[in-house]
Amino acid sequence: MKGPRTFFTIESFFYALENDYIDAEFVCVQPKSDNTSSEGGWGNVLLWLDRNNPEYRIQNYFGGGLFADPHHKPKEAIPLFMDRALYVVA
Amino acid sequence: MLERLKIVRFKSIKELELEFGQVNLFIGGNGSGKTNVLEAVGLMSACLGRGLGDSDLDSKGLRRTPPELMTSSFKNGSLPSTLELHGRFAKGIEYRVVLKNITNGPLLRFYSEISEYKKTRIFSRETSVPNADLLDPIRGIWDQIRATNNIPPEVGDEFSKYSRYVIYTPQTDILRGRRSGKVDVPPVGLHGEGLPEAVSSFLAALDKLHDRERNRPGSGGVDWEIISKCADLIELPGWASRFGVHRAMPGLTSRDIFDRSGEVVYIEDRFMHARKNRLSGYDSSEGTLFLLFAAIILSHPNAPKIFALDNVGNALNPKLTRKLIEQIVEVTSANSNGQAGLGAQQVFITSHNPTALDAFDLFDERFRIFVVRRNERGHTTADRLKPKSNMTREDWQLCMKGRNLSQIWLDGDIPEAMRDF
Repeated sequence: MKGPRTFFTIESFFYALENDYIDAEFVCVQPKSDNTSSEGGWGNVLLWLDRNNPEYRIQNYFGGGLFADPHHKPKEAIPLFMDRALYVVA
Repeated sequence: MLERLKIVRFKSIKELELEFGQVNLFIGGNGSGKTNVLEAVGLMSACLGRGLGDSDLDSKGLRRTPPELMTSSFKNGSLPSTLELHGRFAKGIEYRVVLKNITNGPLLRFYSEISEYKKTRIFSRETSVPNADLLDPIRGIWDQIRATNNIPPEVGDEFSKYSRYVIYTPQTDILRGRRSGKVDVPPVGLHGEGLPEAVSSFLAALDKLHDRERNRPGSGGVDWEIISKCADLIELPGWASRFGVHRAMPGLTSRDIFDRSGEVVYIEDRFMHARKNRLSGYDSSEGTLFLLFAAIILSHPNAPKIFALDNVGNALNPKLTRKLIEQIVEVTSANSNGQAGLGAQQVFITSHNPTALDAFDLFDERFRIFVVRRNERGHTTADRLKPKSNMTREDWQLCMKGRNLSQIWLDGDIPEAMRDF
């Protein structure tokens, strides 16, 4: 099994963990897969990477956030799903 | 300047403490409580103004909410009969007031109030002391003693400026002259009433300073800088060259205007023929009228020094919204020490327009953005949007790489500012 279906499987797995088993929040940072929406589709991945440069990502997800935010929850891990398209980008 | 305000049990606010700058922008979802914050500032101003009567609250732009709904009434909580406002002003001047609602009573009443400066009590009211019921329950002590008591001038200055606070919510029909109304606080009504008179006196002030500046360059000082830049706001949309007031010209003024017998605002369209280029406010663009209104409240000699502008980008193109807020920032900066005769000193604004954020430098303490939201219990909270404490300006620029705050907001990276539907 590969391609978008794999992603949905992984996503569902994390949401199930979040809901039933572990005290954690799963935040999907990538664009929506639905390429019929203007902000969705795999084509927006490149745009997302371009707009969220590495320094921004590090600060936002692991550096405690961009803003002095009392509600900020530090992120502890980024599970990556490497599909062929993403592999080319990497 | 109002530096800090603690709000307790007011509408959707259970308890909230805010530290303000000179320009304060409130963003957040619909119904999050942004206007309630502006109204809390206004209610305390009414306590230091003429009082709590309907007309007093009307004149400040506060809604006539029944007193029983002024005090918070959250589900599964007690139903309090009092609300409290505690303000700290420049130079450490303090004012605290508790207001009470009487069941089915038409108005809020004073329960207690106290003002202190340099650890000295300036005035106070306690309900428990003898003869307290002889005091007018809807009129504040300050308004009753300021003319007769020996008050430190710095306290008098602060309270006088703050007591003129109003919430402006310009409305197109009124700016265009289709509807009319009263002007409670000169120079212009809260929705744009009396715009022709305000424009006329604004231009008189502008001309006076212009003459002074022409005769002796530099003599207009900060006042000239403020008023001339505000007047230039009208040219931003690109088509307007001049503005003024004149007697309505029958053939060139719409029959839809409320009062065609008096003077009306005109704006000259630079692209039109000289005989037909004076468009009345009615035929001008909504955004240009909004900018004219903004120029007046920002720099008219009689305008309040402290005010709120609700929904600032309502009629404006996103870039104009940013430019207008940049102008507000510039005016308050120019008049930061309060020495200029013209120019707002402290402004509170709300906006749903993301570009409003781009006018702010988050590293400048004088200009602040607050993200307003309702927590899981429905209480309004407001967190100041500022960079993480250990971030330097260089760190920030490295992360942003030219990306604007408006883009960050739209991308959902400003915490709690954008609800996911």
